[in-house]
Amino acid sequence: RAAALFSARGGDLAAHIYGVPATAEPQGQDAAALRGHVAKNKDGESDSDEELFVPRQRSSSGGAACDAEDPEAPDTVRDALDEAHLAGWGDPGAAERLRDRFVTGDWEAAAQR
Amino acid sequence: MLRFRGSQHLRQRLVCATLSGRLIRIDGIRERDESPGLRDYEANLLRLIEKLTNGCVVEINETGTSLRYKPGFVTGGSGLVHDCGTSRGIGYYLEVLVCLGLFGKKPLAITLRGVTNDALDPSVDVWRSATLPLVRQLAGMESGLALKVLRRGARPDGGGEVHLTVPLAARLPPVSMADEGMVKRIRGVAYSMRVSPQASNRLVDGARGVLNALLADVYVFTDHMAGAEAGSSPGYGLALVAETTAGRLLSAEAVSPAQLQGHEEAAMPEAVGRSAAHALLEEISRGGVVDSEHQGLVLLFCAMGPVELSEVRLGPLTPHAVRTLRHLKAFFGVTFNVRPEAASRTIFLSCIGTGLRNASKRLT
Repeated sequence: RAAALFSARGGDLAAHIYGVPATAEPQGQDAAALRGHVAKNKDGESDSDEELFVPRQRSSSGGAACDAEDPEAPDTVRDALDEAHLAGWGDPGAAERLRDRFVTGDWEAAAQR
Repeated sequence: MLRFRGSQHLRQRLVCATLSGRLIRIDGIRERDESPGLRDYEANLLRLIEKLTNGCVVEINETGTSLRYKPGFVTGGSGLVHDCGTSRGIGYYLEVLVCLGLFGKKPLAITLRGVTNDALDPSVDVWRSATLPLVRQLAGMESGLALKVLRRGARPDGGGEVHLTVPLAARLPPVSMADEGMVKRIRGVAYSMRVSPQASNRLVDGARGVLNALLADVYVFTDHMAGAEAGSSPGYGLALVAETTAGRLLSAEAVSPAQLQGHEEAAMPEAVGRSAAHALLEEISRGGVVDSEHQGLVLLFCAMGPVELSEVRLGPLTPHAVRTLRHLKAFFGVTFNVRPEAASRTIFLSCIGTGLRNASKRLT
């Protein structure tokens, strides 16, 4: 799901954004976010008492930040960047791929963007 | 009344509620968490909004899992002081202050105390060198919007102090930002406090090693603070801003870990400098007229803009930007037209604004 957000897909991007409303109307419960949580609750109820009071385990903040539907997602504008992915910019030749985005690159190639 | 669920996006919910004058209710705030309810920084934010506005009503239930917020009028004013605590950086509060301050009755001047540089929120250096110039562009103002760093404060103890002034905006101009331009220069601030003054220079070396391969015009200011100006905890970091030929600003930053002891290897100043440079390259490769941190802010200004077409070009949308789009639809009824462009992997978003006006400022 996180990958879908970062891909520049075609027309269904709008549906992806506006498919889930920000508000949560109690009678509707049609938000996908709510549905996910209701389903989780039902799974937990069926088993023994020990599981009754087990708090929901949070994944690391990095994982949670990548989920636009999580109602408890951390409130930050900063996108949790994968460190391994960032370190990839240190590979030889990696920075060179961005050459045309700089004034030192090909201006005609940049103008076509 | 608008009803929401969960703790996500609280800041923008409060900002949008105040600007649109709509009553909101949020239920189920961390109700399945080990420590349920609002966090201390969220309560602190509500106190700050109470300070800033007149007539707002905040009701929180006993466990802190439900919040009802009836917005008041933004008064603003000068001489305000707020202690932001150490749970979140000052950047967390600045977004709310700037968005609300523009629509106040009097110009806002406020002193904030707390953590100035932090990994989770944009630091005051990013605010000063990228965010405020962007807001000036979006709000069509030349001067008056300023942030002055009086003291720096790193995690965990903070001790920083900044002074923010926000002028009034009668109404906003339409936003038209479709041209990205090419990166022509890179500027930055390498800061250090309560460590060797040499750390700033080592940060610069790390970043230049990466960026000079692409561009010669890289200049990083070093800012070493000592004594009372250095706050209560040791730390250092680097904020970089790439400026394009179209006048767009893309920012990225990296900071040392909150606890320097035990992280010596990962927190070598050169390594922090390199990761700031890598983060900047990542932002440039994503494309768009702003970096990923500022997507939500630009979209908010588009929605608040006049009843005319506003258009922006953004890179891949962050989860925060997606949530922003959903909230703008809920609060202002603004739906953006989304047009992805496959070749450059960027997205053109356009909308007709709501024509939000400053209720307390008469138009002449």
